[in-house]
Amino acid sequence: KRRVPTCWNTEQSTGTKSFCLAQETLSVAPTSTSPFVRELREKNWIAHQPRIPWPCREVVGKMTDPADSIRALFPEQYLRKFIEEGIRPDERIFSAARETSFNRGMIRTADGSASVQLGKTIVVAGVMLSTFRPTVGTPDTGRLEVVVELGTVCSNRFPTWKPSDQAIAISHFVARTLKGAGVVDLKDLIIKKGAAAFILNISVTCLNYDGNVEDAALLAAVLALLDTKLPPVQVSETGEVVECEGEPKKLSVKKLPIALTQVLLINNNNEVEMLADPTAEEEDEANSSITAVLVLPLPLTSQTDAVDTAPVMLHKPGGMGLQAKQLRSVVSAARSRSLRLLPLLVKELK
Amino acid sequence: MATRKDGRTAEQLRAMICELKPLNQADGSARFQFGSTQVISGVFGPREGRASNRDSDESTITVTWNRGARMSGPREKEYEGIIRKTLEALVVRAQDPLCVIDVTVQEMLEGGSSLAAGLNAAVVGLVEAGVALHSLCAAVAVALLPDGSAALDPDSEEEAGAEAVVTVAVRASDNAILACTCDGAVSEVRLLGAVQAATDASKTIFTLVRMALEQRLETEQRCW
Repeated sequence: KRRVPTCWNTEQSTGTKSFCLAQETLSVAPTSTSPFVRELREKNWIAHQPRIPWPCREVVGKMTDPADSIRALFPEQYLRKFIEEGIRPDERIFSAARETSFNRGMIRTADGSASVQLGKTIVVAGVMLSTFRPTVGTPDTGRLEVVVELGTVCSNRFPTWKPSDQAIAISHFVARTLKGAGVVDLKDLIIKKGAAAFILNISVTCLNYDGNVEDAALLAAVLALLDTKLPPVQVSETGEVVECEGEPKKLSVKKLPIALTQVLLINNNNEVEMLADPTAEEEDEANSSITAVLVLPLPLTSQTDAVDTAPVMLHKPGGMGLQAKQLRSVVSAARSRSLRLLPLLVKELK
Repeated sequence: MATRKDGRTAEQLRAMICELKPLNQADGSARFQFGSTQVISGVFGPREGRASNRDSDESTITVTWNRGARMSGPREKEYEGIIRKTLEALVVRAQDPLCVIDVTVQEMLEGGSSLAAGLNAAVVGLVEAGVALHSLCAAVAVALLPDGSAALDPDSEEEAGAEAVVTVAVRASDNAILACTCDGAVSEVRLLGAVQAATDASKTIFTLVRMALEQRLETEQRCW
């Protein structure tokens, strides 16, 4: 079922021997002269002292399948063998995104909610409304706050005592993208100019971390906004915001941003390979990524012209250098992704 | 083409200053200024890393971004990530395994194009610290205005009135784009035009940086 790279002869690495391998290499020093280590270096199994990869902590005790032990001990080489064959460890081609599914309105206590599943990555977004008194400089503008939580439930790689840097950076990416794309006009959130306005508190929680939380979180945030209803409120004489009569009004969402993140790897011919919608394994090995966000206008139609002319936001936080030609291919990959998602989104938003 | 409020043309950068070693305690430091935007970077390292921080193959780079007098928030965390990953592509990390290079970027004056100034200061600070780099890198911000034009190195006013502000980091050796952030959505054509404009402007910054480094080398040699 899963393609094991053909170069690793499974007869050579039986269960016990690869476990010994684990014991040896975990404690070997770079200048080790042990004959076993020398033999491995000659065979190019270890070029240098390998880092102890964190998935090793998970797989210890389960190393029965030789491919699993190679995957845990030498994740970089494991991934590369697949890349050489033009395929990824989960049998996708480089440009394919994982199976995406989403639904809305599952959290009754939230003002808006949505959940998105990208392969094994599961993300749930909730919108809670609160009110505040607008500042003097912008008396007619509401606020949009996004918090993306990568807690212990999604993976054991994140610290328990503080939000990880990655979580804060993703929160800011989602907030910046929602504001930059003009998803919600903050002036629509005003209750009474200068007196009260809504704050859209979007809280995105990752339930399972298998890579590419940025795309999932952005989509979940937008779908949660599309599920949000503003309650009928007014400002009382005492200056408080109180509920009044009327029907809840759907929040007016103007744009739908769709993101596609690709990680960058150098293949054996020294060219840059782009893997779309990376899993956690691929993200760990590739330290460069690039995200293209396509901003579709709402209401959505099944027409594809909207995707071809949609404005785009590019997010490349450092990493491998790319030429303009490659940037264009990144944007066109984002367009293909939007075209694939379009029918699902149209059905969901009907 | 109508001139901008401060009299510049569309492709003109503000007056830049690149000063080396403004701080004498850090291993390397640099001050980079785009007109009224001033950023100072301090580099410590390569020095021994903590067990949690170090990598047996290559050096680890940590970046801290401090705002002038305000608290750091998610914006600063994102900038730290962008600068760190850009520096990771520039620094010869295999040279100093188990070491940590701490880069601190301090915004002194905020006047638009902060991320670009911060990245430039960080790169020059690394060179000043003697950390080996594969290549230099320069960052420029481009504001894409609602009337369809582009303005290089926008100040705060132009940034506030722009449809999108694109910050691009360009590598000197092959003009590759190392980093790119957009604060708004624009058509692909305009975006790639902004990237091209930034690539052309980066050459000016490389000239300035090289001049500053050569001047510093001369003073160093004279001291000996």
